[in-house]
Amino acid sequence: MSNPLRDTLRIELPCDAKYLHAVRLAVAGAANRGGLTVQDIEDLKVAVGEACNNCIEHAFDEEAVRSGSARMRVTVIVGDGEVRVEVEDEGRGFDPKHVISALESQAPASGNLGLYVIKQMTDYMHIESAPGSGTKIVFVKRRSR
Amino acid sequence: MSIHTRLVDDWLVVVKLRGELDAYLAPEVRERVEEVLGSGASWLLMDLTEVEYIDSVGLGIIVGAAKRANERGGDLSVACSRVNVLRVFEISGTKDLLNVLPTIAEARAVLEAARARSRASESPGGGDA
Repeated sequence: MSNPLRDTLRIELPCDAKYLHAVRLAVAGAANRGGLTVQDIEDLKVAVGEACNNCIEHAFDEEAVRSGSARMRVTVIVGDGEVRVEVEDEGRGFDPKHVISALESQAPASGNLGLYVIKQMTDYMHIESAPGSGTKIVFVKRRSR
Repeated sequence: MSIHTRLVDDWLVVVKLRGELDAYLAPEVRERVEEVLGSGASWLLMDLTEVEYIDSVGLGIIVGAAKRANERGGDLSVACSRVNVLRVFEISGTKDLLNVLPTIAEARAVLEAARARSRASESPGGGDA
């Protein structure tokens, strides 16, 4: 039985694409501890990259990014045969209703491609966001059989 | 990420990428692809056989390059054999649109066929003369 506190990894970092590689490596390492397969881990790396891209591209204005005040938090919770990832920011937020229909469609609009990819690469995904209240993207990848 | 471009047989530009094509490295790739397109190229083969990772930003560059090539009567294909990279093309629904094939030879062949069709339709008699 895994211990939720013992098996939680939290990274806080600037909203800067130069850290994407480091985040992917950290999440891959944690996912390996959760017993996921190589392909599961590759899927999770893409999903976490897309969630971070979303923060970097949309959460803050350019000044906040330049000054380093634009930050994001990645939490990885390693369970038994599954890994839950939360990517949060305290940026401008949005109404998730605007992307839900795109996420359900077969051919997503290019603007929502990153979120669509997360949904397809993982077993569960949800978005908590509201204008002015930041965004939290949560997804779970389970070990494939 | 390393990027090498070469002109093959005076018509095909092969863009070979190595490493990880993510949002951090995408601007460099976009710039090089823009240079290639700006030089008048209309047939592009993106060699991703040594690319280990791609995200939607990287994918967007390739989709944009394909549109530009199509607009000028050419086309683009992608050579990609890594399962995890291929999966991003499949999930995003761009695998067929971008002519994603497992080897460079197959990716080149699809462009050769498209170019032959294009030339046949342009010639007055409909032949290849």
